[in-house]
Amino acid sequence: MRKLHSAALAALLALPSAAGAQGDNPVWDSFGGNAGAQKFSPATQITPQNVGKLKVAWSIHTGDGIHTRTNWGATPLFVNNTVYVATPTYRLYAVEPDTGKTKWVFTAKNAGAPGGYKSRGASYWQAANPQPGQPCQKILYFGVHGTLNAVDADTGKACEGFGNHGVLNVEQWNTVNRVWPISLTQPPTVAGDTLVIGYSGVDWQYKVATPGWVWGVDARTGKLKWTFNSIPKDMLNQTGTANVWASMSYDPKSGLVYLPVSSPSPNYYGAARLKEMPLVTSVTALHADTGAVAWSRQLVHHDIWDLDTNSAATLVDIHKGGHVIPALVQATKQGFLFVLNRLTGAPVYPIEERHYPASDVPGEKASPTQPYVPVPAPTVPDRTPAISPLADLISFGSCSKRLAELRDDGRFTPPSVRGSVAFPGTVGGVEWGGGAVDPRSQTYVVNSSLVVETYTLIPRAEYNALVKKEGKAKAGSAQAGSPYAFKIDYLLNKWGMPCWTPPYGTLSSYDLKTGKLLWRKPFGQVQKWGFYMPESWGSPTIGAPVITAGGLIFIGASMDSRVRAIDLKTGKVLWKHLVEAPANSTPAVYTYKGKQYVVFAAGGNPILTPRTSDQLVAFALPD
Amino acid sequence: MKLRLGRGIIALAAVIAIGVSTYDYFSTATGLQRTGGVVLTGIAGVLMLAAAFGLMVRARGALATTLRVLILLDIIGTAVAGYFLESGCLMVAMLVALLGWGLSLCAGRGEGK
Repeated sequence: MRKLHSAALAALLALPSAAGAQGDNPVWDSFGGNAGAQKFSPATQITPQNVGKLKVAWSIHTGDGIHTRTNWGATPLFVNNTVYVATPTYRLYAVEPDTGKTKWVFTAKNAGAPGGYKSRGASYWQAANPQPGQPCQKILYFGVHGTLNAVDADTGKACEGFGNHGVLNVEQWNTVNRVWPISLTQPPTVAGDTLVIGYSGVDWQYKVATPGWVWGVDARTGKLKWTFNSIPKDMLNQTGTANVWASMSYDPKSGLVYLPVSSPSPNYYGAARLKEMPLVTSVTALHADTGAVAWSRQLVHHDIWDLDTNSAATLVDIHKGGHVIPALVQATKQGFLFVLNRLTGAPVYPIEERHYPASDVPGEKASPTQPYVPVPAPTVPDRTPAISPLADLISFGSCSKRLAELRDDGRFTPPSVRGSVAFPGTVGGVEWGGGAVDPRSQTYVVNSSLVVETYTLIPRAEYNALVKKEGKAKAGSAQAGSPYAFKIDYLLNKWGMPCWTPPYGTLSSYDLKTGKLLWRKPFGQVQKWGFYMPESWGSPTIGAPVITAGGLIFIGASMDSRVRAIDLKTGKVLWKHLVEAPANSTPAVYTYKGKQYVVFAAGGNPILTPRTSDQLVAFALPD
Repeated sequence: MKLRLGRGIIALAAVIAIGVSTYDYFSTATGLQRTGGVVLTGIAGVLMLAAAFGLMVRARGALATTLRVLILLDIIGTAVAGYFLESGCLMVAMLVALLGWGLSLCAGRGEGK
């Protein structure tokens, strides 16, 4: 009965996945759980009543742990009756869903010199009618530097017919303003038989850089179908990036793929790119088969804060006023939740254009207005949090003194030479995991960081002197080609304690039918030198929540190495368990042989804390 | 007798604190691996052990008083650290150490009379 219930829910409520269901077992076949990045599982076996009994079902180590600087944000996939995960040292694991026993491991031959040891996993495609006995009817894809590897999901062998013997050289298309090689940290988004590929770059190093290419390729062969670029041709000699480095979502019904388009280069000084570029820092819908723009909505005008749109839009049908609105929720670094009609881009809840302060830097012209979303309420307050009396006291007033030196006009304070407060700064707000939605109730849950940063523009001559004195690493980001380099810092006291009052991170739940905030709680715990700070302080987070039909939220994401189960209705933490490093990723939920599992990649993320691991760990109720 | 027992209990608690800290430092099961906090509690345990031996050598006088004060501060500090490290074992060890410290204090006063 429970199985039937799960299967029926999967069929009725969740957006279709690339692979559909496998018997009674709904799949978890993409970075966001399904094509619509809903991060929702119809599984009901684990409930608020029994979650306290959850135990480790299996745990494996991928062998990546020998490297201390790995950055593992992979969502494990459950599809083809197998759990798959790609690792930061460019390997792909296939394991048994109930035991964790390794089926096969694929090691990329073209890994070459160590890159960033960074991976956000793999993606999965399968033919509409897989032919038994034929290779590569089901394919896994994962990036290695500027290449994409295609691996047969059944055998773990390279798909010879894809690219050059299973390796597609995406770098070959990095031909305009190439100042660095691209990196495919994020696996491609599967949109029907098209793979939509974005890239990661470094948009703070150069004024003119590789533009925001997105490529659509054939899932079977890797043959290029179309190319999209967010930057107008006549601006290519003034700027670059505005790329798509995060995951995307896809609506199979409309054939639209939704791109979170990031900010243009150089990130923090835009005098040379004052001309309107409507597709940058936007959510843009493309026809997945042609790459043609269906609609686009800019989320930050003339972005000089690095406020990349950084997560896949969550697709959900909202029942409102007797109508069903095909909607998406685009969470942002600003902590805004743009709720839009996903077919037209029209706002479901009003978006205001609010006035914000001007820049005082020569040549720079900050946009006089910016989009502001009052409903749903932003995850981050409009004003910078007050100085923490404790942090100020133990540093003999250094926090207050530092704040007095900075420019702070609240949201969208432009970067300045004297230094500006950035709240929320480049780490958000909401990070690349995005939110999760329960499509039955249209309840949306999202974690958010509350981190105060400082942005300082450094005149070129001063920067050059700094480089000579302190070296490039300490001097800041070059923004070469523009008159200013740039430095970003957290507002910390001399002991490394945040100068602002907690919480440092929250988890929020919204009713999308009304836009109302249902609850908001501090989430996670900061851990410094091993010491845990109070739970009421919360923690900055990287990674995302998932929701189950059993009424639970599962999430890692926080600085402390714990994974948690939370009551969807109340936000109360019902269960937590220590893992070997922060699970700065999105968990996967699946049911196999009648048992529900929740699996986390506990790899850590050096942006949050130095502790990293290579643990893949699954939890289930005891027999 | 009480004095010897008290010193022995302090030494035992210190050894437990050192053991727990060492385990926490190397084990991936505690959430404390390679953290400065457990290095601190480990060092505090070593100092407590040394002070307990010091009390065995010199049970009376200014040095003994100083050692007792230092041991108390060590117990309080390690217990607070244990609280923030969420290490129940460390806190229990410090409770035991406090018991030993109390016994040693009572015995010291008795001998003083």
